[in-house]
Order: sequence, then structure tokens, then C-alpha cells
Amino acid sequence: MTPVIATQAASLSPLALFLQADIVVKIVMLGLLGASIWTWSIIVSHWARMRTTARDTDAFERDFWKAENTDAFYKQHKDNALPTARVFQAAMFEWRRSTGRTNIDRDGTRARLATAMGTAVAAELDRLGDRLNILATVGSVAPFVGLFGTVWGIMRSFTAIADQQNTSLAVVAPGIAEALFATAIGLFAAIPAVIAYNRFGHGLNRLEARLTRFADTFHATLSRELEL
Amino acid sequence: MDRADRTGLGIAILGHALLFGALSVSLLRPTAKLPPLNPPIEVELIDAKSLVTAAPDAVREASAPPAAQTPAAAAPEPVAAPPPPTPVAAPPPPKLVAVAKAPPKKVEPRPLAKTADAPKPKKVETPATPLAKADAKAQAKPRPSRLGGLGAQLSQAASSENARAPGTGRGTAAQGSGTPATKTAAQLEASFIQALFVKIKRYWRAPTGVDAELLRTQLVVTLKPDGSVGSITVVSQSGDNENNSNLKALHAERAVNAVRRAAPFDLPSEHYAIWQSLGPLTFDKRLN
Repeated sequence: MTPVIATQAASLSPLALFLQADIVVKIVMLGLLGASIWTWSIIVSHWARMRTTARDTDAFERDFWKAENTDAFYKQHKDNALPTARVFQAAMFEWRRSTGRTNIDRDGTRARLATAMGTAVAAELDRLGDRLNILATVGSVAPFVGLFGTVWGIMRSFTAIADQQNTSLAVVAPGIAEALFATAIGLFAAIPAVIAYNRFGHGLNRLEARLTRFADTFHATLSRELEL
Repeated sequence: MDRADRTGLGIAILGHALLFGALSVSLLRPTAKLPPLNPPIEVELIDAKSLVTAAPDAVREASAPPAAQTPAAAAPEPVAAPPPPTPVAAPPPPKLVAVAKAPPKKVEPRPLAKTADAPKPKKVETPATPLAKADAKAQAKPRPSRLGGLGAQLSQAASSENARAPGTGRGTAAQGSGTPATKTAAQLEASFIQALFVKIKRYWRAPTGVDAELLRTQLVVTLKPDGSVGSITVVSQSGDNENNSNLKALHAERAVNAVRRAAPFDLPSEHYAIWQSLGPLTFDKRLN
């Protein structure tokens, strides 16, 4: 390494710390950096998606309960990708197929409607929560990976001590600083991941409750229609 | 990967690049070091006792000189004493006191040298030390006093102390710390040894190993007048057992080397007679 980098080792410059590190520690650092970027991209996109979903669902449910003609509303929202709209579409699809025949099995229709809507709710939740497990994984594994890098780096600096027969801080410190940098990146990736995972899990639970509520209410409405 | 994913990835990469860029150009580096709260004070570690350790106290000075005086030296006292009585006439209770008072002055030969001027310094001092006078009188002239028996005991004690003082070594060095004027050869030697140790300590590295701290090596060092080392002899070694016997030779060798490397020593040349041979110097792990 050039002396410039060596003198910078005392600072917090991540570039210097990275360049000084052992190849194993470098790989660990790059992996953790990638994990951090991935985590944050998931956080940002998920957060944006959940925000628009909540806003659009509010508008959709308001419009839905105001709508006079359910068939017309269905036609209007046939391709809506909103979770609530998907549940509504699944229910309407099942309703049309069950009531299109001459003799209607009312109990069977009710059961099929409930199943169809439940499936739609589960599918929507699966789709939305698809990448949250990545957050969970990063949150739990990144500190260990960082720790691995640190242990490796400290092992290396101890070897340096043994080689130089010199235990002065000047020999030990750069290696340990660079090794600890791996743990720092690990924590840097893990902490937001854990926080986001918990927050988003909570958000998904609330969305599930909301979708189930909508499905139950709509199911009640359709059952009432069946009795006429 | 839809639009939200792409924007999320873009924002994440941008944020990381910004953060690491900021760290790399050390925006987050701690700013200039704070000045120390107090100006640094230079500290020197000295563990040698200085040659003069305390101010003389009046009582001891009055009583000590007669104690330090050998019986042979006491003989001239009366010779020196007779001249003073006449000028000392000023204070009323004169002659007995004058005889008693003489010994303290005897320490300095000055009054003898210039007999003509002798009265004057004495006159100045006589009113100043009534306490010392009384004390000295009690010791120097015990027999005529009414408490004959006690006086005899006192004088006996004084003479026994007298006998012990010059002979004993370091033990009395501490005891006599209050009377710098009567420093004995043993005391001087002890302080020279201390001075030697201060310098040697810098070069002394005790060997390490099992039970190495138990080893003691005693050296006697002869010094040349210029302070350099003449010869070093290992007088004795102690504290060895089967664990550290292999370190014995090394211990002695290092002790000798430490003395050699610490030389030359800067000791007062007028006392060369005392420090031309110093010892035994005891080397242990910590060096005193």
C-alpha cells in the first residue's frame, strides 16, 4: 500500500480501510455493502408501494361503498392491481360463474365466494410481503458476517504482531480498525433491515386485517343478494 | 422489477455513495484536537534521599554534639571553656552555664582560631538559647545536680548512644535524619548507594522466568576517583531454587552489566574515601 493510505488509516475513511484490508475481509465488506444496498432498495420500494397502496385503497373503498351498480363498478375496475380490487375481482368472478347457471346452490356459492376471497387476500399478502424475508435474513445474518470479517482481520493483525515482534499500538491499531470496519458495515446493514422488517411486518398485518374486513363485508353483501 | 423497485434501488445506491463519499473525504472526522485542559507539568521521579534531609531542631542540636563527641574530644572542652567566662559576665547565672554552653560551639573550630573575637559571637548567642543551655547543662553536668541518680542514668544512656552511633550503618542513618551536621560515614555511604541505584535503575533489567523475582545478587563495587568503575565482585546470591537456578548466572551478569553501563557516577570527590568501595549493593527484581 502507498504511504498515503497508511497515514489515512487512522481516519474514518472507509476507502482507506477497505483498501488496506485482507482479501477475505474485502469480500466480506463488499458482500455486506451489497446487502445494505439491497436492503435499502427494498425498504424504499416497499415503503413507497405501501404508501400508494394505502392511499389508493382508501379511495377505492370509498368509491366502492358509494357505487350504486356493482356490475358497472366491476367493469370500471376490471384491471385494477390494488389488493382490495383484486379481492373484489375474485369475488365478482366467482359470483358470476356461480350465479350464471339456472339452479343456484346458495350455500355452495357462499362457500366458494368465501374461499375465493380468502385466496385472493392470501395471494395479495404473499405478493406484497415477498421480499420482506430478505430484510429478515440480512438483519439476522449481517452482524455475523461482519463479525467473521472482524475475526479474520484481527487474526491477521495478530500474525503481523508475531512477525514484527512488536506489540506497539502503531502495529496493532490499523489492522484492528480495518477489521472492526467489517463489523461496522455488518451492523450498518443489519440495523435498518431489522427495523424495517418489524415495521413492514406490522404494516402487512394491518393490510391483511383491512383486506379481510373488506372481504367479509363484501361477502355479507353478496350473501344478502343470494337470498333474493 | 417494477418502477418502485427501480427507484428504490437507485435511491439506495445513491444514498450509500453519498454516505461513503462523505466518510471518505472525512466530513465526519473529529475536528481538531482539543487543547489539554491544564498545561503539562514536568514530573521527575527521584527516589534518592538528599544529603541534608531536614532542618536541625534546637533540642537535638544542643544535645547531639556532646553525644557525637568521643570522650577523648571532651578533654579539650575545659581548655576552650576558660577564656569565655570573663566576657560572658553579662548574664547573671554565669559560670556553670558557660561551661555547659561551650560544647555546642566546639563543633566549629572558629572560636579557637581567633581568640580575640571569640567573645562577640558568643555574646550574641547566649541570650538566644536558654533552652538549649538548660538542656545541655542537665546532660553535661549531671553529677552536681540534686537528682544525682537520674543524672547518672542519663549520662549513661548518652554514652551508650555515643558508642553505638558511629559503628552502626544504615539503621542509624534514618534515626539521625534530623541532624545533618553529624552525618556519619555510614549515612554518607548509604546515600551514595542510593545515588548509585538511581542511575543503575535505568539500566537494570531483571531476567524473567519462573521464580526469577526471588533471586538476589549482592555486588561490591570499587570506584575510581573519576567515578568510573574499578572492579565489581559478586559477593553473594540468594533466593535460588531448582526453578530459577539456570537464571542465577544471568541475574549476576545483568547486575554487573547494569553497574558498568551506568558508570561513571558523579559523586562528591571530597568523600572519595567513603565511596571508593561501595556495597553490598543488593539487586532484586525491583531494585529497592
